[in-house]
Amino acid sequence: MRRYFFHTQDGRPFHDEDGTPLPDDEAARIEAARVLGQLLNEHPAAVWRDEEFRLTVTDEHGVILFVLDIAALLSPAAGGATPNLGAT
Amino acid sequence: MIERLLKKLSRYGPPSGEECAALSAIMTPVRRFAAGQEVIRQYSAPKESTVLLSGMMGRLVMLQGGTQQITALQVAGDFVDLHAFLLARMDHSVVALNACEVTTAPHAELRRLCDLYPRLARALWYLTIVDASIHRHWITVLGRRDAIARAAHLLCELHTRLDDVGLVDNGQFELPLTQADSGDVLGVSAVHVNRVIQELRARDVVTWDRRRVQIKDWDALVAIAEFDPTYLQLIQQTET
Repeated sequence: MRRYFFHTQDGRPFHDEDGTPLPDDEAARIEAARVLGQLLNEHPAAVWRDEEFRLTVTDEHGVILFVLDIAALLSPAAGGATPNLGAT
Repeated sequence: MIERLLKKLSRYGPPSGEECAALSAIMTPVRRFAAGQEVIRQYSAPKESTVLLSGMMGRLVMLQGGTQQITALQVAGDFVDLHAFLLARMDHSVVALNACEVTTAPHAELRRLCDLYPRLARALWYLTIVDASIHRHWITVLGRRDAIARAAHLLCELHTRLDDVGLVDNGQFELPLTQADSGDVLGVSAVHVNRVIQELRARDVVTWDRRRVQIKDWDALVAIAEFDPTYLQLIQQTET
């Protein structure tokens, strides 16, 4: 077991101080997806409001292991000025 | 031995001295279970119902693929499977979460007492109705609330139920759940449980280490949980 730390930005920053022991990186990646999914479910408006909706997993030394990023883009038709999604 | 159970039963009726003595008399000698030990097996057909005297147990439903849900937590003074009295086969297991002491009521003896004392039978029925009420609230909370509200609601409920049987000391009580167990209660991953615990701590509402909970701001916890203890029915019931 190794301790993984799940830091998130979902409208406000959350710094995981305690970490969670998990068997391996694969288990941590699965957990990361579940946590981000739960956060999206709980704060559906935040993903449209903030520039960052992100989960970063680090090891006990603070080294970043993997990142899950949610990108929310508005096309010009929906009132978004940028980015250009390719429509001409 | 079963004073805590008798206190719960006394909210219905209350039972007479004779009824209390008769119920106490059928109880089997104390048995002990270690943390993690299975007390009642899923699909078994118990011939007796178990009363928890000390410690905490969980009702567990196992799914294929190794996931599981803890569908209820039992505290001292609770019957962990009174419904087994009337059901042919268990649809869930019961697991000891820490060191537990139990006694049991043999079903043949319970049947005899129910025939002899109809009001005691109704008082036992009341206990299973309260169980069902708690299940309804867990469904509502797990189905509709976010993780921090689920955790806050669980802590409010356990504080209230444990306080009722004298097991809260100055806002502090034992909660022998690992993070994985808590995830199985709250329907979220262990990582998410961890987040929620840290958030409640950061807001100075609750400290919850592995084995102990200290409530620091009850009103704030109740507000996060939207906790209303009506469903626990910890009030005197009256027969009209």
